[in-house]
Amino acid sequence: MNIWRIAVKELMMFRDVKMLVFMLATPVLLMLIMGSLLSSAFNGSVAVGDIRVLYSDHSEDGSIGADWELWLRQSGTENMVFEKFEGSDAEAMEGVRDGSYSGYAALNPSGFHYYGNSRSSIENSMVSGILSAFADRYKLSIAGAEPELESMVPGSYVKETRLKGSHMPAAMDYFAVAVTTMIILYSAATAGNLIDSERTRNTAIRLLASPISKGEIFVGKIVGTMVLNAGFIAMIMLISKYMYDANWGDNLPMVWLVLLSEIAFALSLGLGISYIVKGKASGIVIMTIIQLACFFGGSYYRIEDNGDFVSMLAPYSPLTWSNEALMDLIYGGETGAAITASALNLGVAAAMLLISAVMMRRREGL
Amino acid sequence: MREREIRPENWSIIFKLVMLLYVTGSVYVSESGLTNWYTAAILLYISMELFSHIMRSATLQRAGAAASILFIITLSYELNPMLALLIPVNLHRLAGPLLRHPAPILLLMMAPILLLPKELYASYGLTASISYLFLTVLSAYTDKSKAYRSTLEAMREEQYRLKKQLHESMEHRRQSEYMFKLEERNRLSQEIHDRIGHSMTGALIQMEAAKRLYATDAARSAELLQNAIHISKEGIEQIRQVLKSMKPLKEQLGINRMRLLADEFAATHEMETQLTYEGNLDRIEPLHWHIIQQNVTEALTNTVKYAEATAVSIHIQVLHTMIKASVSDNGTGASKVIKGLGMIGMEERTAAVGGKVIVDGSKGFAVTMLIPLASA
Amino acid sequence: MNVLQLKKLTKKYGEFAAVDQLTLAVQEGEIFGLLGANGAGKSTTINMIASLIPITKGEIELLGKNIAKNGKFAKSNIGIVPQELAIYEDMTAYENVRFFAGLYGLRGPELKRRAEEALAFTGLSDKHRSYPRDFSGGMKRRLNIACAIAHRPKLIIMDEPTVGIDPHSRNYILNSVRKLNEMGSTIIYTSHYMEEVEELCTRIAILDHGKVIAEGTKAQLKSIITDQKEIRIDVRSATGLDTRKLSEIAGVRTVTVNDEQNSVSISTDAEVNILNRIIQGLMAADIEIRSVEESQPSLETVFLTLTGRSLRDS
Repeated sequence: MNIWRIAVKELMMFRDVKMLVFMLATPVLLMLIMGSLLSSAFNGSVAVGDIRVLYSDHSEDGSIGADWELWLRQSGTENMVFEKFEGSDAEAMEGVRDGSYSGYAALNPSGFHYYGNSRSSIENSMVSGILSAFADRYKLSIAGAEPELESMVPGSYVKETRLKGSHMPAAMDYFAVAVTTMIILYSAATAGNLIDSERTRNTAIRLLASPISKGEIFVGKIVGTMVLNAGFIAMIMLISKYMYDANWGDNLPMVWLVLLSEIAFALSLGLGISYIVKGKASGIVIMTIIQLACFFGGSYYRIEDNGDFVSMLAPYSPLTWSNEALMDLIYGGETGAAITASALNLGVAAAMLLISAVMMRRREGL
Repeated sequence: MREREIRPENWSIIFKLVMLLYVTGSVYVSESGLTNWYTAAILLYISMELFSHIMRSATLQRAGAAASILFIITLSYELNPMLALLIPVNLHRLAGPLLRHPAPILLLMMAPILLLPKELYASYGLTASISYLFLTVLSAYTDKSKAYRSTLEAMREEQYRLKKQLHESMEHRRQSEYMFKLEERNRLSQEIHDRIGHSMTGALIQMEAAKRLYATDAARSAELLQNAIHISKEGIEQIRQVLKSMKPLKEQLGINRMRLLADEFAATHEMETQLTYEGNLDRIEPLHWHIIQQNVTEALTNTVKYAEATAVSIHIQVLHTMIKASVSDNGTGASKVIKGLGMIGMEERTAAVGGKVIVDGSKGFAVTMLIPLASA
Repeated sequence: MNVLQLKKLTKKYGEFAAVDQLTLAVQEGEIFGLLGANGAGKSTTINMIASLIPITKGEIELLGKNIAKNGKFAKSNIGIVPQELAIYEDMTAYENVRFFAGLYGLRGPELKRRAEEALAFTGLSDKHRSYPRDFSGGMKRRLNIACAIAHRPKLIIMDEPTVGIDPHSRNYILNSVRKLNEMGSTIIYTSHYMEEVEELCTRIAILDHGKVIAEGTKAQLKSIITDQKEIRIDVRSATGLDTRKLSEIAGVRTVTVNDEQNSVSISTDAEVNILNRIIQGLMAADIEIRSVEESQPSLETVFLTLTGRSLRDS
């Protein structure tokens, strides 16, 4: 009950105009600006070479290859280039491994094997989307694997995917996701202030003097902010979906799970750092982390998987996990990456919350 | 004084961490490598471990350990059998406190080996044995050090109590010695006074008689007068003696003694020393003077030791229901004064008559005694 | 009955004792003043009473119960008005009071009624829906009080509730402190303004370096310094004044006439009030009075004498 009261009090923050502007107007505007200004980066002409995929025809009579080419022409995959490859599988895989190709599709009458470079997971999901659509048509099964760079061992699972809608993100679609995840990460900054604000307003004194426990205050505040942020994010999602017609895919519950786990991640990250780093320095640390994560996580532009400095660091940004998981989910219907990303987010969140809880118990005051 | 504490809890955490690093390293070089799943699982495992370490109640701790084991078993089954190496540590934690003899734990810790693939037999056996040895020794050490600590604690308490008792009784002895002296002096002066009174009365009676006989028997009268003169002379001598014996008492007590103290201090320490007073000093009782003197001496000693001062002033002020005596110097002072033994002594002495001692370090050191006074 | 009893209360930070074996009792119905310079240990003591910081040694009993063992009970029966404003600027006055009162377990209509009462009590009824960011300093202070009293605590601790506000709000606050007291709350009051303490408090303790150095009613504290007061009367001409008549008035101790300055100085017992009779005596002697000035030690003097520092400049 007390937790509920504190949570409700936190929710009242939504009347704060500054907060409203930041949480709603900023992302909506950002999506609009980035989605329209940077749309050229997503146009076919530039995207040629973006996704280069090798394929080989293993059918006796080459019928699959012919069907495949026909299918490609019909479906109009403008920014993907499929090149026929005549050499052995090993040579093709070498090309994938060194990054010159995003993947290699081996077309067998019995099923398709797709070997993707693990660094280009967004591309992989797009290609496998196309493959599965093709396979669907030809009643073939498709076996996909994402081998490690070091060991190209085909995976053990077979997947069947059906795709509706567009197979690749337009600028607006991409930034709808990227800006949303970025805005979520920014809530780490407010979370860093969560307990501190009670201290600077002196209301911490009142809270501690009242007959409720520190734990209740702590949990109540987290739950309140969590709900508040979830509300904002839901609104941002709806706005981008219906105003900008951004693609959020069909599996909305899974998309939600990833976003919610990221909210939990961001909040506990901010909170944890505000406990670990003393005073004002914590704000700076949190902002630095957010900025780096945004930059390397592809919030401002799409990170090309070309092996340069930025793309090397990209996998370490927490935003990359969530962004890639969401892309997989929306364009590939893949839930595997989404579950992993959510687990990772929640794992870090749990660790950070534990640290904060321990530090809080040791401290005099909040 | 404070010995470095070795906390067994921390050691067992470090041991677990080492194990975890070993397993992670082995998994890293193994075929499957580090996957996201693995990282997430390890993070969760660390959280669970921390949880069970944070919990205060033993039941929750044990529940946490049990949960860790189940989790690890699941992981080693699902992700990588290497993770099974983490089982023995947790088993020990879970079963250790329950079993009286350590031997069965070893069996218990070894048991999971049967479920593992053959390649892991050796590593598991090694880890289990090392875990068993380390944790058993650690827990033996813990028990022993716990016992030692509680004995030590008890001894310390006893020592403190005795010390305090000794201190109190010494203080008491000193006070009573002094009171005895005072009483003795009172008694003496009373006696002398009585005797002088007695002889004066004798002389008076003789003179009265001489006056009556003056007309009738001049010779007898003269004799009586001579007698009276004799007695009076004796009386004067006695008065002189009394005065003489009173004199040191006056010097020993009160403001004169303080003056002496201040002069002495100024002479020996080359410090400008000032003694001032206001109000009716006669209202200060001997016992109060005694306490003030001792405290002032103590405060002056502190000034010499710590203050780096060039001047010190002693001020005694008799208010209506309180005596305020303060010693202040122009030295470095201290923003936060930490009480030493001398200060505690001052406090105790002053508290014996219901007074307070305040030490302020904001503008040099200032020791102020406030002693309540029965209102006049 | 003792509402609050501190027994050898000690708070140490490392080796430094911020509060040093402090023993104090506050009785029911008192407005108890705590006087002390910055760093004297007032706030630390208050924080321990309000369970904001742990106690190093000693005990605090609230209504006869040890607060360390009865945390919830103690917290429920204490209302604290912190020195600094402790309100949410982004919630309305009513929401503020309601939120804080709700933490004390008040529910539903009862909660609503109590919150409204507290606002009415502090004269903020018409500001119900306003946000504190639009309030004047005095109104914020009043809201600060309203947030502490809605749950009707037995003991209200007010830490400098009148710092930096206009005279109107200040009077309002002083009056509401009296009213709260009349309504049955015991109050602990600290202030830098000696006049406030002198005017309000029934009993006062002077703290210095974590210790109580004097404690009692105003009269008791003043009598530490002296038991007499001085009356100085300027007259047109003091010549021919018979001082014997004045000396005979009961309570008069000494009478001195200063012919050059044409003034009469009379010292009397502190506790008697005989100014009327002295003036009557002078008038009977046909002496024209120009001005009368009565001086007796103020609490400020007591504080200054005992601690060697003035309360204000510390």
